[in-house]
Amino acid sequence: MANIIINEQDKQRFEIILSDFLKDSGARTVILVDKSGFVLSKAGDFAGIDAQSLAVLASGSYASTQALAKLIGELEFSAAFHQGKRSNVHISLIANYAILVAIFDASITVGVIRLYARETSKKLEPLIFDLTTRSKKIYPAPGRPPGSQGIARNE
Amino acid sequence: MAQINTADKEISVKIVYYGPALSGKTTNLLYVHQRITSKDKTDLISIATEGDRTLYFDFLPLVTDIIPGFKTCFQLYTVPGQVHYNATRKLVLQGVDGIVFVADSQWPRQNDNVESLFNLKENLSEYGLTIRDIPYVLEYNKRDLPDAAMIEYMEYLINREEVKVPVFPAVAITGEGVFDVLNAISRMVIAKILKEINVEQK
Repeated sequence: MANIIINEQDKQRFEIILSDFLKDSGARTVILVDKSGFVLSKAGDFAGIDAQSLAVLASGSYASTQALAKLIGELEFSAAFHQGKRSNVHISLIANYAILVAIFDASITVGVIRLYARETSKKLEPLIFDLTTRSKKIYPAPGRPPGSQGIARNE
Repeated sequence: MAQINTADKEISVKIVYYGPALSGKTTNLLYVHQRITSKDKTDLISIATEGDRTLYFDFLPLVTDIIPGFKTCFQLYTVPGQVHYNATRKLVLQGVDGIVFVADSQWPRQNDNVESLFNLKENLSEYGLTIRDIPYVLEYNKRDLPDAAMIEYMEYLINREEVKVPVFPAVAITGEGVFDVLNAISRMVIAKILKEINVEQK
């Protein structure tokens, strides 16, 4: 497996897109993680949250959600949503390589987050594709595979 | 695969402790966690059953300055050893950079060691990998127990690749051998990454 190399330009591009996501959606915290649990980029309020632990648990949670999807005959779930009393977490897949994890207050509806997560996903896909092809690892072309619009809810 | 962040001068690698149930994988991480004194120390994350058996994984990030000018983060994971948790075991292996196989030295557990190693090879193959592709060391744990099998016998059973891998006798519960194992796998993983970077630059 080839190593992933993130340079200054990648870092800035990711940060701009994630900051825009926070501004548009009203989410509190956002983190972009690869499927292995490594942090690619992050933005927002991380007070009292260890970013690395968040990344690892989110990728673990998403990995098991994916396995669950396969078990019931879905190609994959493109997003997962965890609802709490004060905070919610929305996780969505990007270019079959990374996951976007958004933490947002209960006052914001999941629909808004989902809408902006989709837009953000479209902006991130070419960057992720560039990152992975540069690292000599071939991933499926950007874009969601057909039949992957399911939502896993864990409320 | 490792992640190299040249903007923030950070390298992150994933090391997985694999092995049969109750061989001492979590005990290895607990000992390392106890001994971390740096300000970067974070909690050990354990997704375990009520009976403290690993359900999904344990996770411990270890930040070092092993490469000058870079912050190197070793992400240490364990897998659940119990046979019926294979689905989650497979998920933890995704993106692995180095493997520590923790074998149980007790005589009655030798079959479990062999089966777990076979299972590791099978799970790696699902990611298109073989055990030869990844830095890999063996830890023969519980050497203090009276019914520990001879090392030569364990070598015959487990260390059967053409190129023998480094082997470390250990007593993880007292910490004996734990850091020898961690140092060895860390060096092997970093050496592989540096070699790959050099090849890519040429």
